[in-house]
Amino acid sequence: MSLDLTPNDTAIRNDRAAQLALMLARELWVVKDRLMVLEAVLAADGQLREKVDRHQPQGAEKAAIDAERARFIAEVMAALQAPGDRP
Amino acid sequence: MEFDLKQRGRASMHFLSDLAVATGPLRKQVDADMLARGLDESTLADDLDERLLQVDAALADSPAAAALAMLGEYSGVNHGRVAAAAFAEIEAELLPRLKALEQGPTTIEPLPGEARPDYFDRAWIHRTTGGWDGHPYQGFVHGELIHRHYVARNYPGDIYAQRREILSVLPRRDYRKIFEIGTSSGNYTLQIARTFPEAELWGCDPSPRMLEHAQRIANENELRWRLFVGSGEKTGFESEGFDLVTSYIVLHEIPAEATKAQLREAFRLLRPNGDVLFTDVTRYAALDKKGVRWAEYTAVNGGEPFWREAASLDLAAAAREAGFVDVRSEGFRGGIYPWFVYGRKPA
Repeated sequence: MSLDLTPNDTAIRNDRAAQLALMLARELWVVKDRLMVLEAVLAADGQLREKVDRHQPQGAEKAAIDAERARFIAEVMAALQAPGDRP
Repeated sequence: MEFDLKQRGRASMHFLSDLAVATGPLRKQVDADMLARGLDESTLADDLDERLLQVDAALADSPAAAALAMLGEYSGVNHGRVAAAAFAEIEAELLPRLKALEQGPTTIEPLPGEARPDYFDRAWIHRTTGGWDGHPYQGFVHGELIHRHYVARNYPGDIYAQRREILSVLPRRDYRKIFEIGTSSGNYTLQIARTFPEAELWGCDPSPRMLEHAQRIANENELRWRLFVGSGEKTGFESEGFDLVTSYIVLHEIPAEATKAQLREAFRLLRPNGDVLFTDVTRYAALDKKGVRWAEYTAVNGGEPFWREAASLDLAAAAREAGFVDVRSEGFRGGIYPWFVYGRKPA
């Protein structure tokens, strides 16, 4: 059995831009989900948007956001590589 | 096991499983596109490789086929990675529970016979990143996250009920000692234990990481299983020590020759009048040309290197060759999935 058995499907599977779009779609969903959770949790706080807009991450929080951005970029890069599906 | 994922892991797993569910209509559209391009049972090639190329070429301008290939690739490559990342978010709080559940009545030990067949490391089955032993807690990652949150959501029917209900084809309820081949993370084992609570239950699997989770499942349920790291082809156990040898959805993950070897080993291990029951995917002989093409498509894209030879094997003939009588090879309850082979060792 070979993943190259069917040339048209194989070409589509090897389209890294399409894979990148799906990875970004997943990340977008994670953020949308998180936003909905945030809105639900903080619904009672009428100052939320202003606070979010003016908030400047510092210290450990800034480090966490930096690390998360690095992880996100690593995901983008991974989506652009050939998939690891063999030992 | 009961646990909660954190937001990222929960949302990512939900996205992947919903993406898989969304491919259902695409498959129907691909079927329609095939018909529109003149591909039906009368025109599809008899030779399977030729048929795959024939359909691939005919669907080159099908948007549904393109979308299905793209989504299948994404899910195939990423489901293991996403599940491992979801686990990483809760690992620290989960580890004390996982460690504690490794203590209890269920044990893991090396098999006296062959430990790791050469085919086991030939490919990452299901394209799961790293294979069955590719993560220190792969048993949890696969058994709880991939199986429960992903496969169970988009595979037809209740995959847990199927494991319990198939045991109804067995003619006896007085099994004293049962051997399961391919225990993995213990889903079928748990159903065997609940169906035959008085029986002593042994199981084997070449993957220590998967067995560790089976051990946790057993200990959580206060069950006493003896689990062995190794394959079911050459166990090294004494002959005629079991009343039932059984497996569920294992055969398509191993070469056909390994299935024949497991049937021979089962025959050796069984006492006279003992039963064998192996359950697996639909036989190609029970499918039409289009159905076989879909099965091959799923296998090729889903990291199933042995599916074709497994689904093409005549299980009834293999069971009879091993010495079994009263052999039945058929779809469960008149359907085509799951498919089982049953046999009895003569008295």
